[in-house]
Amino acid sequence: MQAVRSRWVQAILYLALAIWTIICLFPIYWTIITSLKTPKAINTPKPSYIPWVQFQPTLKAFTDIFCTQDCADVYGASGMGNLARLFRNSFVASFSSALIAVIIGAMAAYALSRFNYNRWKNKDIAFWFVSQRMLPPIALVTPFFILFGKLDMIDKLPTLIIVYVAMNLPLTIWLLRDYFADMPIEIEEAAMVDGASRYGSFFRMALPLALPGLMVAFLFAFVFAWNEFLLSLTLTLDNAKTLPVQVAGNVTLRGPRFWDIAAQGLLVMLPPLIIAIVAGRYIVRGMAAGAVK
Amino acid sequence: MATSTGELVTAPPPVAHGRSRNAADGSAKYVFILPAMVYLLLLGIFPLIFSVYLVFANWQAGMAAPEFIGLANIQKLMHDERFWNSLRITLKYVLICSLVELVLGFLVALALQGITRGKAFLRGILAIPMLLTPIAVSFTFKMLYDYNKGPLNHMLSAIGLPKVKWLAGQESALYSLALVDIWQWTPFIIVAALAALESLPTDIYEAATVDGAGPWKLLTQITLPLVQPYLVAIVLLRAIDAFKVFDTVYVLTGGGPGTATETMTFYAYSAGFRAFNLGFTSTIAWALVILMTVIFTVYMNVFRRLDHREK
Repeated sequence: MQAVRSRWVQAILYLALAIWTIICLFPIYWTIITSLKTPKAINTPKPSYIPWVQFQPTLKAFTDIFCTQDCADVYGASGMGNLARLFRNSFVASFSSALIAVIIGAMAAYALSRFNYNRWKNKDIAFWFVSQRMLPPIALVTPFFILFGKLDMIDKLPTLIIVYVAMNLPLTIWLLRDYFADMPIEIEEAAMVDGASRYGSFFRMALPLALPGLMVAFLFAFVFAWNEFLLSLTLTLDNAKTLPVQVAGNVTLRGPRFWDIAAQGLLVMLPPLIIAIVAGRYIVRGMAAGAVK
Repeated sequence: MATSTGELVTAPPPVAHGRSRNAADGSAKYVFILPAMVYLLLLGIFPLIFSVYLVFANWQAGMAAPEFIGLANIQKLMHDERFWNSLRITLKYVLICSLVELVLGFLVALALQGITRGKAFLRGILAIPMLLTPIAVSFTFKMLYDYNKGPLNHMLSAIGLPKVKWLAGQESALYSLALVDIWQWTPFIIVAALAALESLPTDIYEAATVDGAGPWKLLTQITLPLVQPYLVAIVLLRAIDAFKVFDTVYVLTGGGPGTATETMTFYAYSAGFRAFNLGFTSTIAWALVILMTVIFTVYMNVFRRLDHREK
């Protein structure tokens, strides 16, 4: 696209992108500043946009949402107390399920890019894996609810981990299959000539070389598990409840206590936001490749 | 099995990945792929088959075990105005989201492709929304949409436009939900479309420029025809996800006002976990599965064609 180098065209493009960037970031900005407002600053006839100029920011909403008892002051006790425990639940479920999905997924992806399955075509196997990503979760919610109920596994963290692995496997296989397929096979050949087994060459050669790809797949799986709502809503009650479920309940019950909503919302989006800022570039590349390739 | 090191040394280098080595791989071939297969059979296929059974069963609150009722759930579904309403609403939602996201996303991708500096940086920034937790994003829009204290109505008033009811309006509620989706997922189209644009061969453009083609001609006669199949694949992928919409409905409207935003997933959820009729939930869910299978089949056909073209 060399033809668009003219100054005017460039100016228009940057202007359009600037507008889009503002649209893209404004909701996040609004959440951040709202979480810093006092109830008084929120309950004004006109909304305020600029901290320090239009209102004095405070971190009170954040100390308030983590408060476990006796916080009934102007903010009103959030009464959810256990946010820290729920944060831990979410983290454990997301981290473990992402790790397992990446390990099992990497093995399958490696197999699909290195071996030849005589009776089935590799492409068909890969398709079978990917097609599971399409399944609407609601179709699995009822059977999960009944089957895990029979096994007495409702409201247990391992249950969430198990279903999140299933949810993320198709994706990790899809991402990593491309990764292994693009990796030069000669290094492994050489290792195997030197007497390494298939397993040795996978663990000592292919996996370390695929580390960047594994990281991206892991972060993807982590974010998807962290963001998951419907399965956690139906498969947990209290003990294994994840942060989004708890917070969705709080907010629906509590009405327009915006400082509170904003602080809780930010807490939920914190890990994905950090991942987006730190590793966004790599994730974006993975996502694009997954969609186009 | 004899160790194959000897054979390998003398064997010619492999032409294609993995073709030369089947004999030597033996167990590894299955050990590597079986965990994933067994896992998805147990937690994907098996529950799915079980839910087929639920379609033909009555299982409501207080019952110890499901009771077989044949086609009753399906008959009920056929005559259920609320179901058809949820189907219409879901289709409308998917259509609005996919089309708007496609157009906006492609335009932004074109702009990104065209700029000379800051492309990588902007691409990273613009991708942020799609990683954020839908539940939290819903809170954000709950605040933005607030009739009196929300900045959106404030801005509308500032430029002399009337305030909008957003989520509370019978008409506007679904569009307001779609807007959340558009905000969060247009980035996906941007990123994917940009990857498609970058994969186009540059020599065609150079040749066309030498022949005197202007930017508009390049866009309509070269870029669009070349990326069109990618765009179809990308937007279908997005549509497949939009069909599953639940989180934003749960937080922002609860299906209301009335049933104005009751999507299929949300109706299925209400039937099962509020009215506690799990058999009927499975019936609605299966209607959704069938609908999505059709779309997914189209997607895979587009995809295969792309694959062939590349080879």
